[in-house]
Amino acid sequence: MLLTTHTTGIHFTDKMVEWTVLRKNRTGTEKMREETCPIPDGFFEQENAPLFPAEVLGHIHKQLRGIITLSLPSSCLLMRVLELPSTDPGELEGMIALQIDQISPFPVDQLTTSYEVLSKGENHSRVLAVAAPRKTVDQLGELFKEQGVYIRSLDAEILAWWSLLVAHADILCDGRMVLILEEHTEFSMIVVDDGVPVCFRSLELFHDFSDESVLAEIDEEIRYTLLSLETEYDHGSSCRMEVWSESELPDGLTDILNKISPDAVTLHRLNNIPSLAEGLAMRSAMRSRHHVELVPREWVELQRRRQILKFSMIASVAVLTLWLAVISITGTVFTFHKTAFNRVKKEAALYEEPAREAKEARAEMLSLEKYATRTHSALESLLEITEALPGSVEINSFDYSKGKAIRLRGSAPVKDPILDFLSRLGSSSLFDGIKDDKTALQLREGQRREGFSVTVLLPKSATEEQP
Amino acid sequence: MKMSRREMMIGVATLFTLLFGVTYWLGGSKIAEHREMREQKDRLTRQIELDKRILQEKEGWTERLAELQEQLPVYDRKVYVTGEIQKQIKRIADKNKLDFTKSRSDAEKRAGSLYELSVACDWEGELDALVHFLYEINEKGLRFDVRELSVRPDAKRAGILRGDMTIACAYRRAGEESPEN
Repeated sequence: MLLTTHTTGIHFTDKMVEWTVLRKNRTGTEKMREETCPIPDGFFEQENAPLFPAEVLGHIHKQLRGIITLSLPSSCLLMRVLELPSTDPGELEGMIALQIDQISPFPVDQLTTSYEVLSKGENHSRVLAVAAPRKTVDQLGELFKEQGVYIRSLDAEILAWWSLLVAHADILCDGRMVLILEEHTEFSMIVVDDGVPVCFRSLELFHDFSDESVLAEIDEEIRYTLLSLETEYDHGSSCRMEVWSESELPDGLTDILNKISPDAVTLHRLNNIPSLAEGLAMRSAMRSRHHVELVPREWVELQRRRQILKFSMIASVAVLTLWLAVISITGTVFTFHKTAFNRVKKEAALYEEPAREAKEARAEMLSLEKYATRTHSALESLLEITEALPGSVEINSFDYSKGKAIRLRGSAPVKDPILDFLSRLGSSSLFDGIKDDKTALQLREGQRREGFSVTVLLPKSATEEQP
Repeated sequence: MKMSRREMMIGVATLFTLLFGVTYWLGGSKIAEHREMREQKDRLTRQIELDKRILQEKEGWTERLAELQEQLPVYDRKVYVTGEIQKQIKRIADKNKLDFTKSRSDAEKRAGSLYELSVACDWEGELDALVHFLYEINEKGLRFDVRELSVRPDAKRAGILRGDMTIACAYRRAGEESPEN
């Protein structure tokens, strides 16, 4: 399946090319664009004129989107309604191939064939078998391809008209009805029995209403067709006739049609229903399995491959672009950070040496400050302890360590003066407090004495703190 | 070559994985390097801030250092400072009737233009002599600093104390300038 939601229908006559772009959405389809482009006067009259004025595509090909469907006029097609005893698609295909082979004046390998199921019974199908010369189809395909436009679908113009009429006209569900279609390149008839076509016939050979003999041939052709259908379908001779034309029909032709169908001939204008291009695009958007498709299988395969290649290219370019973007952004961020890092490194180097010198000066200053600080010197500490010492307490050892502590050991006859002494040391403003204070009974020279030991904390020198 | 949509998607996904995988494989070390660089940058930024603060205070330190250095004795490079200092300490002890029974000194240490020498002494004497010795040491200013002192009564002699002390001595050498000069 192709990855698209758009369909474009292209219809061309000898006067103009018209195209309609539809887009599928959740609610159905919406018309995105509908335009026409005139074909230069006398284009088809020139010698060896191509099937299609490809130059026109040069101007419009950017407007064509999604599945592109082109219609072939009935004059280019071999059409036959067949009653087949099967509903199986595989069997139908085989039967149609046989039938086409029998009725076609060309070998099957020179044709591209397809069919459309018109109605289906329990074990029976009414189908329209369609064949187009492969040469015509290939020429059209080449003309479009030269302009970079790839046809994805080839439909029958008369079937597009039929779809439009079913949707927008009053088709009888009971009885026979003859529809005559007339526009620039399409002059054909559809015979409908009980709402289902039983015959599609091109009258394009007789598309010259100015000649009396041609009008007579039209009369004969229509009568012959209806007569042959009567024998095949055994329907009553009366029928309603509806004529859909682009311009007013000549009186001579109207008289003929009135004679063929004396009950009722109704004239309609094709302008009152949507364009054929829209009908084509709609048929393409809503296509079912049993839908006429004259495009050769290899074209579809080619387009599928082109589309996959295109998506591969886009996806690869996107991945590479993303990769390049990631690499570029990462590279830029890395470079930016590297530059910032180098700048910081340079700045740090600028400060490093002066800061080192400053730190050395500070260290030297702090070393000297130790010498200058006398507040907690050994002498001051000794004096403070001596002053706090009660008369009955003896000091047995004094160990001073600057900026750390003084360890004292001593004794007294009783405990109370020791406790007073420790209390004074603890509350002294010179010291930071005392710790590990212990008292114990001692025997010295046969006498009982209270011994003690204590650690007096000295304030840490400010010079020992780090910046 | 026939390629389905599924194969195309797999191809693009493979291209994506390969491209980014190989890039990560090749550039993974750069990412670690970059992370380390960022950490180093943060460290350096903090160091710069610290250095700036240090430099802001440098002037105060150098002024104070110069002020303190003024008070230090200066010895010629050829002078045997250890002997000289031990003699000075001995003189002060003698003057204050404090006996130094033993003294020893460690190797001199240097911090910038400052030299330090540690002298450890065993001493004995009366409390009064010790107090006067310590007082005179204090009076010498930055030259000497008593770092450790232990005092114990002599068990055999009443009124006599003994112990040891460590005196830190600071000085400069002639011809050696301080860092900021």
